[in-house]
Amino acid sequence: MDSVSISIRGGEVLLIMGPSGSGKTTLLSMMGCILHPTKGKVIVDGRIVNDLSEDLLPDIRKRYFGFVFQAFNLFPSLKAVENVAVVLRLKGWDKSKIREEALGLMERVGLGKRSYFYPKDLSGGEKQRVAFARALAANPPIILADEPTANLDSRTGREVLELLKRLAEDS
Amino acid sequence: MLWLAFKTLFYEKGRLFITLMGITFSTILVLAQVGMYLGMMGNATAIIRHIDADIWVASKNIQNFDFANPFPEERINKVRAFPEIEWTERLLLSYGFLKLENGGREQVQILGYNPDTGIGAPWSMIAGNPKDVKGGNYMILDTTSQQRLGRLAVGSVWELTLANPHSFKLVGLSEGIKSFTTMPIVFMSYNQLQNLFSEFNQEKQTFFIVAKVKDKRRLGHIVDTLRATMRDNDIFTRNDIIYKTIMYWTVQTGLGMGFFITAILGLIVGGSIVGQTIYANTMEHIREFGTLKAIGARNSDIYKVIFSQAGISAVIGYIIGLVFIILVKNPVERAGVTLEINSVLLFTQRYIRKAM
Repeated sequence: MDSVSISIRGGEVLLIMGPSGSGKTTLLSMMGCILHPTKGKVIVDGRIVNDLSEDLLPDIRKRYFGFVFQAFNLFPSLKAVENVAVVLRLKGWDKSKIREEALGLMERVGLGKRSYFYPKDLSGGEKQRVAFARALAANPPIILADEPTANLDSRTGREVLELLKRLAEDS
Repeated sequence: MLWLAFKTLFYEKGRLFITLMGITFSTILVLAQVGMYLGMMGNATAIIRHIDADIWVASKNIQNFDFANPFPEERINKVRAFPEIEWTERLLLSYGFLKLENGGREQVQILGYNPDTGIGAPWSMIAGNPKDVKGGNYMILDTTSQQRLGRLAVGSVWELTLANPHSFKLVGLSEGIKSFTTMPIVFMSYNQLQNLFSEFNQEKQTFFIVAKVKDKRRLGHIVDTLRATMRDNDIFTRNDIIYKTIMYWTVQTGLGMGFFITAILGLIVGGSIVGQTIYANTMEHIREFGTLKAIGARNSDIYKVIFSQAGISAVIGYIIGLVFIILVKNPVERAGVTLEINSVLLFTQRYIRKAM
């Protein structure tokens, strides 16, 4: 990856397009502090984060980012609502509030009635909605979605993009 | 993260079952080996441990408690001469044959004790009294001998042979007293056994002199003095003779190594299964761990998940194995094998208390 410079503002939905192998996932991983760039800077909320130690980066990820993956990456052993709750647990939320918040997020993505289903019992679109609910947990300012519709049929893909747009407008 | 470890572990029930089977098998193997070893060593030292003596005088260069040689019993006076000695007593230990109902013979270990003091007497009587052996051809047997001797009825008469056959009446039964070799132990009065010994022209001989000191702080001094004055004998403290007996059976016979190797194999099997669980879980859930890291988990959180799963599997497998061993303990012991698991239970109990 060479000579990429991107600035993202609050409330903005930015679409990154490029051919396969062009580095879209690598770029998102660097922006999300998962990969370290060999050159250049990643600035989050005015702070250069790419040279922070591995001890500090988990806090940056928790505070600023929500991730949505192409293959959903839900935990198969957890029910849908528990997948959402994982993030809140990691963020140290009070246990009594986690359940309420996670169920609220499931309602927000239109899956309130399927909160207690395991991922294997959900359709591809539903899984991706759960992934969005997880990304939205604790309201991070930045959602990084890596080809969120790639594993979905075109109709479900459109629904997911509509959802993403609506969520961005809501926030 | 323990929550996630639990959920993931119990979600994959098939894998958990196989893992637990392996760990349980390993636990049973290790506990059975350790239990049998401790049981055998417990039997080998049972009589020593149940005699409240601080000092044991034996023949020179004995290998262990069971293989003592006779020496003149008058040497008891050298021990008695110490003003710091509270009491002394003599014990006879020999081997003979009991004639069985079917005409066969079974080798037995014979312990002669003074029924007046009860030192060296059987300690867990279920019929009769240790004093009942006094004044004639009377003996006490242990119920664990029934497997080898047949039905033991108080009042029955048995033929016991050392040099010549003699009839002995069974006047009492003890419970749970075994020798290391599982050879039945016959308890009789010291005088009676000495009479039998006279047939070997070994009059006024004894096998052990045991003594209790008044002040335990003086024990070292008394033992040193006895060693200096009784050069034809070995002088042991209680712990010394227990140690010597255990080391003989463990090291000199190679028995300990046999148990040790099997126990180590069990540990290796268990360790390999836990290791395999860690490796397979990590490889299979690598994407989930990556996701966890992306959503803010620290490396330490991920390690916690991985090692918690291994730990939980190990603890559950150990508990199942322990419960199995507890359940089979009595049937196994009825078959003649002592399974000493009290120390394992004590260790587990202490560990749980510490963990809590």
